[in-house]
Amino acid sequence: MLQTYQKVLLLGFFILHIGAICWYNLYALNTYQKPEVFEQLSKPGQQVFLQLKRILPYNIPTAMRPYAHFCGTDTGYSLFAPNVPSAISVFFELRDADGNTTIKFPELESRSGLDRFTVNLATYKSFEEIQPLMAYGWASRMLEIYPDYTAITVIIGSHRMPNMQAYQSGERSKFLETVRYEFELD
Amino acid sequence: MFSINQWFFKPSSPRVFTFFRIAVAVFCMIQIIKLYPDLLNVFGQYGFNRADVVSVTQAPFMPRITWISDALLPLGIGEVSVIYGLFGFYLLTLLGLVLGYSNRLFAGLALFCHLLFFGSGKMFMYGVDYFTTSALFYCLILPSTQAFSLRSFRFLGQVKASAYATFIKRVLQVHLCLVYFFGGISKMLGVHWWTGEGIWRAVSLPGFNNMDTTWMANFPNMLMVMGWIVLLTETFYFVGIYIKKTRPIILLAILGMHLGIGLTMGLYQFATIMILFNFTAFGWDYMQELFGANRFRQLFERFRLRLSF
Repeated sequence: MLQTYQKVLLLGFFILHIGAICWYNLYALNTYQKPEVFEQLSKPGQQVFLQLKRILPYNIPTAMRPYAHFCGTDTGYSLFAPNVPSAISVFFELRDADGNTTIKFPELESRSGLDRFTVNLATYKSFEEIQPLMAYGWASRMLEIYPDYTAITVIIGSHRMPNMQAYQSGERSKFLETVRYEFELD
Repeated sequence: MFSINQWFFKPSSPRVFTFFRIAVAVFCMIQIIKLYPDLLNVFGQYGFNRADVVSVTQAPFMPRITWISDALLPLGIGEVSVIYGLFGFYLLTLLGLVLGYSNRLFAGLALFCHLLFFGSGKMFMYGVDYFTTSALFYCLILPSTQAFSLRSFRFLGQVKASAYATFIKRVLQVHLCLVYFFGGISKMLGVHWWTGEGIWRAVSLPGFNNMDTTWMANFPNMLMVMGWIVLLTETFYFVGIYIKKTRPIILLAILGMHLGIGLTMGLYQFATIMILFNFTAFGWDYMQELFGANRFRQLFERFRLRLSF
């Protein structure tokens, strides 16, 4: 049997734990304030969000961060929301000393690794300030895997999937290049 | 009348947590073994994400492999050895968790190893890794060594009901309700999930499309209804799962949704961990209600593991 003080402590833990989950999820909804996300909301969705935004926290308390990280709740659970985004894709153009080029996709050895790289590309969008650095990391790794090449171009874009109606009338997925980074070995 | 004391602390069997502990440990083993060929690509400081780039996204308190590799460098032990050594050690801690000896010690070590990998490959981490962290955290705090463990050589014998077991089950249940509630409500604000476009785009996302699902474009109404089901099931999971009559419907819908994610998008690991959470939080009790506790026990007793010296 649990003593009363033990029950009180456990309920305290419950409030902390569940409170942290709620806090992170409400905080994550702040991204809906960005104009490019807000305009993706439905009209009623925009109205609801404008009401909801009054109660959203604007930061995460410092003391909560390590705890939430330790128990895996330092994230929002809004996967594929408000809408399903276009997929980011990347491929590499490798060039050797003679100017011969070849196209390669990210070289990972396992399906699990490839899934993660695809997720990494989704992460890429949310780290605007370090995007060139991320591209540099991918490029360096590819040049290590293919040591015969001396230069590489990282080509990043998104796959625009047609909607159902457009697909039925023959439209297919399109790759739209958004940026490319070029790197060369010294 | 609803009583907080009863809801949180009415003693119940902790047997389900034995299942959870073993299932989570086996799941983590499979997860890391599947990633073995890419350990250096994902977690190495010269992998696809350079350590200096990843560090921008890491808070100082987040464990990472470079903590260990930097400390061992003066001894001539390089990062590659540390990564493979950690891989082996992680597997050992998970084996300890399966066996159930010093459960908290092994759960704590497994969680720390997982967080070291997580921190180092942070940009490669997604939903399944966050839920794995949570699962290992729950293994650390839940009472799971009364059965099928080196501490207690029995699988289905008498297991003492405890108030703590009920409490942890409630934490797990509320956590899961919040997962779906926030997932559902954030989708409801958008457009795609109301029109069926959400399902269409999710199953045909390049990089995730595990099977040919283009035929679905011919059935927009079906996708629209599926989208509504996702919205309703997720958002009102917290209501439906506690009502006896709707519980099986909600459980089936959620199970269907996760199986669908696994099959069409190839996210098997994510689907598995979510099904595992659902089964532990609600499914086990429902099965007991369905079959009766004794019937359920008899069913498993056929496969009873008899350990004796």
